[in-house]
Amino acid sequence: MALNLYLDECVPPSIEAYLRIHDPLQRYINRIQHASQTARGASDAYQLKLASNSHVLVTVNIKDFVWLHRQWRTPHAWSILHETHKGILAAPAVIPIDELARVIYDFLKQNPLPVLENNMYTYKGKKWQSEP
Amino acid sequence: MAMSDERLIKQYITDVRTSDPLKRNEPVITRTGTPVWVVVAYCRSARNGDVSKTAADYSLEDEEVEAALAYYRRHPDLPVRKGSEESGGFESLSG
Repeated sequence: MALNLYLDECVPPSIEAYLRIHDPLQRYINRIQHASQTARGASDAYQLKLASNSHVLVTVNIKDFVWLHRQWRTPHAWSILHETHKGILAAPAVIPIDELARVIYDFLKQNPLPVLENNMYTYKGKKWQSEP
Repeated sequence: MAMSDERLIKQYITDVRTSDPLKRNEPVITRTGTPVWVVVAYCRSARNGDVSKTAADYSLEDEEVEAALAYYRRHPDLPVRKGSEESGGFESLSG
């Protein structure tokens, strides 16, 4: 099933066109929403909340979103929060936009797709790794 | 003549701190809201300092990228490495 992507404000907005080159028929990526369209100036925490219901969040802000992901999961461990997020994909801010689109697409076309719900994957050492 | 760092920053960068947890709390490009740190990191590492390519990828004007670089020259403590593979610690949130 094709997923919806939410791109945080750190992600180049023009990546949508590159993603569509890889996936013109929307087999893997359904809607693409950039934070600048709907939540300009919102904090990272608020953006994750906005995306959590229906979109996989894509970011190049690895540090802050690893922190947020762990913060999100902590109350789950305490059974005081049951709401999950739809997944976070984080890649380094230092790779060119065409490569960024390709690695995101490579992740999404995996079969089987790794479990995204309430999980975070970071692109490190040229491969996607699950964050604890 | 090229604009001075001070004029570029004044014209293109917003750096207003807030305690509102719903708002971004870091310097941004005024027109677009793009965080300054990511423009600097991307320009220096992904585009080898090419301002025009960086501007095209981030849908910015060349002078907005120049302003981000100028801001970094004035504020070298800007956390430009938080988008690197090695990041992911538990320090404070800025965004």
